[in-house]
Amino acid sequence: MGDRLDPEIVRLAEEAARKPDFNAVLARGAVLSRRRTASALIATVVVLAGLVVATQLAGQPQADQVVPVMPNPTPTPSTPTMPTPTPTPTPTPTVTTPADTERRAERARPTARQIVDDPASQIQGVQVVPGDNDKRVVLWTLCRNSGCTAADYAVAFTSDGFQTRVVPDVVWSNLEGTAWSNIVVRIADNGDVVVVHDFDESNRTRILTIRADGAVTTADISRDAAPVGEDEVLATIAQLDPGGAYWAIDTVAGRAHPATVPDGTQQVVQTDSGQLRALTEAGTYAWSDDGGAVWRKAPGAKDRSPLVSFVDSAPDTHVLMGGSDGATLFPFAEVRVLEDGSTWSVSRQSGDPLAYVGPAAVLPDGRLLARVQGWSDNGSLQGPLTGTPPGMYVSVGDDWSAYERIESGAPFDVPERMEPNVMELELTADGVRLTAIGPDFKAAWTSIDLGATWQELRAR
Amino acid sequence: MGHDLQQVFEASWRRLVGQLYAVCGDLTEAEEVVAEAFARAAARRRMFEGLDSPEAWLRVTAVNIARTRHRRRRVGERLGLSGVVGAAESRHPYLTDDRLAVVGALAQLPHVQREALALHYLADQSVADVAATLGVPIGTVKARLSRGRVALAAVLGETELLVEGESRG
Repeated sequence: MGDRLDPEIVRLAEEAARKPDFNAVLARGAVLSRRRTASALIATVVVLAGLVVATQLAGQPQADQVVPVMPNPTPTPSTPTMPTPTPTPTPTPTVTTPADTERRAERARPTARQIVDDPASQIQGVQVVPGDNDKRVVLWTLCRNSGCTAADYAVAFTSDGFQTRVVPDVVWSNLEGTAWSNIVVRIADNGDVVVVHDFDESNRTRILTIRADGAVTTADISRDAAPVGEDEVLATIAQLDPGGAYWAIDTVAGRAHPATVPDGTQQVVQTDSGQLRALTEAGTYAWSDDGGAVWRKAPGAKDRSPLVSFVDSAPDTHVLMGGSDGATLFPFAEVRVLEDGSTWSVSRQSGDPLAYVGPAAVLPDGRLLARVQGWSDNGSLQGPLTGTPPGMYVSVGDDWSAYERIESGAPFDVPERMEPNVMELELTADGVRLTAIGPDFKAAWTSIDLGATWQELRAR
Repeated sequence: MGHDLQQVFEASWRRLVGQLYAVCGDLTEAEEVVAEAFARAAARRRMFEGLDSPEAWLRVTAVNIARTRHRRRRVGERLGLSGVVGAAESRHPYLTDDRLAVVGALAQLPHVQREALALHYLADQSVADVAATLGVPIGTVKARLSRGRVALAAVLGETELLVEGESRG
């Protein structure tokens, strides 16, 4: 037993290591060098994956030829392609047999429409326009094999609740053993969609703007940071390292630029009111009400908590959740409230059992609402759920130290880990609107009563 | 001083990947974080070429990148992403079942213990070097090693994990 931690493991790994071409490393370094000037925004539908994007952009919706998406060679936007919104087809139930699955594994990469419409596809993310959830974008994924170690992704969006829809003919493919990269999909108030792909197969950031009429443009990317304009869409790559990509995108002009953020920024979000909120590596919380031109700062936003998460709230209320480290999920350790613009009040959670939380919000009535994905007493992931049921929890009392569970209706009426899979919390005048992905990953759901009842949102 | 990046790349690549494999538990992941560390060195070449110990800088950077990528996956999970993305199977060198079990058990430990154990015992770094890599005091490293051995033994279903050369460094 004495030699179980054996350096021979490392030596064998050295032998098996594959060395890349040095010039490829240099090229990646050049990209990083440019990105160091970059800066901020909000990610709502995010895919973190080993995504090498073999991107397919065809001029017509029915075209199937593979055309790589290339950055604009000139400062002017490329000529948009113009597929028109089409009536949403009525889903036809089909049975997927093992033979079908094998054929899927063997066949060529599917088209975007095939991905969106395949009965086996699953929703990877959904985002609605605040105040108008008939406008929504859905990211669909179709696995290529049973383990889903390779998969294809496509986007569908709508301005009328999927009475009609746009499915741009662009496919992102996640292949085994490929480099890590990100995709962020975001819908603007005007119904346009942006897709940011961070580090494609050429180690470049590529941004597509897709107009509500279906026109697809590769955005012209500026490297000069500037405040976020009122008509610009914000999309941020989820990144805890300083130097994350935070893009402001003008969907009409087809242009993008880094947003202005404080030095050392690790995370940025934009609330529904338009306020930007940032957290720096040094633990300074900052917020801006003018797109990032002027930031107000409050140091001391984290000390013992290596993980910090923003809590959605009114513009004059600033709240953070702190999480301890060493777990796969986000362990809820403390709530931190900015009292007077510079002083944090901290209330620690009991930790027995420990809650693993997702999105959270301060309700208009002052209560704290949080999605608890699981509890430390839920038992092994492979075993049946035990202990405290996951779900939506709302605070009881004034100090956010005690919580009660909201009994959810269908389809979340049976407590399960990670459910309800809430993607968005939208504060409204008298409460909050939740948007979630259903347990079968085939439909989106919305709730305006803290998750007690849910209404289905068509997603394709 | 005045190191040529390509020379360091040729001399240190495999060694760094081996060490990061111990930290990450996945050979592809190790290759990617080391590549990212070299890319960052290329992006700041003047700074890099002025370093006293470029390989140590690359190791620190790669360990930080590995930690960040681990957290990014958690961010994705917090955002409600299903387990289908990033779910590619791990890649390993040719290892005996016993060694694979150790690598798998390490992956189940909190990252602070995993990093300390991997760098000290598998990558054969002294306690002082591990402390420098992780940016923590030597006493902290010793505590993490001690607790890490107990935790690893528990994961492996053994009463205690005894390691030769425990006090080195």
